[in-house]
Amino acid sequence: MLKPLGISLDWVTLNVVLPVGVSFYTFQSLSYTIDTYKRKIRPTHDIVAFFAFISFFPQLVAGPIERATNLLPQFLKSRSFDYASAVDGMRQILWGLFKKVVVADNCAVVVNQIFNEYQELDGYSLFLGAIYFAFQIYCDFSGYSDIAIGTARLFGINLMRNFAFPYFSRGIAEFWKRWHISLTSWFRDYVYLPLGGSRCTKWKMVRNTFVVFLVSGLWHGANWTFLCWGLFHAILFFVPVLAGKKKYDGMVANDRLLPSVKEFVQMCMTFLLVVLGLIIFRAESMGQALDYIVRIFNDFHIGMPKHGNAPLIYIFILTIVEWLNRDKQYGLQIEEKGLMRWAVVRWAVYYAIFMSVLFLAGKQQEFIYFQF
Amino acid sequence: MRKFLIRISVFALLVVMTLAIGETVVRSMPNPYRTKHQGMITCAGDVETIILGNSHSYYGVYADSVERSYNLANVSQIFKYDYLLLKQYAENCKNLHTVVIPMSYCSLFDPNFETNDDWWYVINYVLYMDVDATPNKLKYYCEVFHMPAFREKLRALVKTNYLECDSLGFGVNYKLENRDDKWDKYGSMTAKRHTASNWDFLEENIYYLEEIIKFCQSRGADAVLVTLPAWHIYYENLDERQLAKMYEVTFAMCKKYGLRYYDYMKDKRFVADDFFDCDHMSDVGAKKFTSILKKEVLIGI
Repeated sequence: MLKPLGISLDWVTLNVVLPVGVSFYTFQSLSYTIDTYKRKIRPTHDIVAFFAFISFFPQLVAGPIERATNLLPQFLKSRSFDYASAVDGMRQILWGLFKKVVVADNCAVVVNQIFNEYQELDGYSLFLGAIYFAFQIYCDFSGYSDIAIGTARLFGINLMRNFAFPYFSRGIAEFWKRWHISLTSWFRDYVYLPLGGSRCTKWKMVRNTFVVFLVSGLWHGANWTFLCWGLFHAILFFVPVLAGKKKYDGMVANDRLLPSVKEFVQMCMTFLLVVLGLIIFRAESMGQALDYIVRIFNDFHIGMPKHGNAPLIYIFILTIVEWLNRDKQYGLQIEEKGLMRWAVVRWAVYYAIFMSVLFLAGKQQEFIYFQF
Repeated sequence: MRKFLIRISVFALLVVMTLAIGETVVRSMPNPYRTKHQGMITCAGDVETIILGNSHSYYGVYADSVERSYNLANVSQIFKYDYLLLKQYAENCKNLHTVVIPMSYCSLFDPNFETNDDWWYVINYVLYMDVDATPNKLKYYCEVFHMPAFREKLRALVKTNYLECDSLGFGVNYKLENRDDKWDKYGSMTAKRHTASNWDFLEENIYYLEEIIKFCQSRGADAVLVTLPAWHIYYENLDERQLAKMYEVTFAMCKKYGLRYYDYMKDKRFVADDFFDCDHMSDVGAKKFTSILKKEVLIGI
């Protein structure tokens, strides 16, 4: 029937070409519909504001997934240019560019090589490949969010925070409060809580948690790897809850420069578990994921990275900067105190980062989350 | 708003100044395109043999071994640019006798780089060789317009491994002593990379090949088709269909225009040390191949 239009459908896979970022603005539209139904917000009669909310260009294709309660009212009131907000927005865009172009794109080149020829590599290279992928996906996605939030701020619009230094988490529960916050909170408000949340029997709570994580996995695509990734995180999330372990809310190493040994071990363990999950996420099939994980433990000899040192150096710089600013909204949120009170120092930092974006960029890669 | 715009403009000015310095540095680097342009301007009158082609002949034909010859090959050069260079420089080559046209496995199938991510190659031809390649010249007037290539050239400056050729156009970077220990590891991968996913550019490449041949014949010069030696891992992994098409077109050209064709791809006289990688000659191999070329192909020169 659709052949005259040049469209041929496969009845098994459908093979429908979906618009970029369809899941992001579908979720945004859903939040408006549900919130209106539950009378949390009044339906808007301003069609321009409504479509601006649905299709606000900075966050249209990869989030943050905004709520009507936060974004819609901002389109309804008049805005004026704010110098401090615009400067902060520019800084956040610059930091997002650094994360995406320097860290993520340089990691991507090595990650693609390692995952493509993983059967010929030693365990240490495979381990490094998984670490690089963890930073690739973090910097790719949070880099986009920083650029989107920064761009919105230039227009006087405040978008919600999407990442809060997730690799400094001390447990999986804390990780999920810091990773893709807009999606996690969406699932909490529109799936977990309507199912009963945690105010029900223990087994219903287990069911609710598993449902949220499985749906979260499926949100990334109809693939066993995403489903298993969701399941893996559901188990990791639930084990400490059942064991009655303490939940962490505040910032790690608050009022201290360095974390305690306990905090450091907790952060490393959490990060390694996340990395393990990301191997499943990145693999093309569960068979490949398991094979990759098994091979890490074979022939493991620590040495110089075979695929170059550059990604490690960029990851090191990123980690230091983000650690020093972990109490801020993003890595480069500079306060005018100490050395940074001098404009020339701040400009030197901006200039160095901008030049690194120009000259240290990796091979151009599409944003990973554009596909979801 | 005014304060914000002024500061952004000052920052942008700083960036532009830095890029301008970078552009100057890159343009002052040793560059085979400029060397060849200057070489062909100063000694065109003496040149009797011109070698065209891509990196296979750029690193494979040591023009110094053949009297009055010049290597006009460049990395990734397609037949269109072979033709444009020949047309541009042959006007001054009053004694042109022979034009060697290398027929690589990929020559007939290579895409026109003007249309893909490798369009920055055109910058080299426009900036350094003054080639009238395209009507949209503005796009190619600065190295900095293609940031990834610009960046790579600056990095090469730091590592001092920039592309360089001798005064007769031979690429000097592929010295045997600099060869990687695993030089033959990627032979099959290179063969796959050289296998075209489609034959969209076959017609265009045949058109320019014929233009080169017709141009040579109009000038009374002898056009010779040559396939350079390759390492066995490379030629054992070539796609049979593409290879057969390459030979089919080559023999058709020989028949149509009465040309000579020499196929050295599987020549057993070339051993491991003659190769820098699976499809390129080392400096040792280039000298060996050129002496064979002189004895068997460029007879009487």
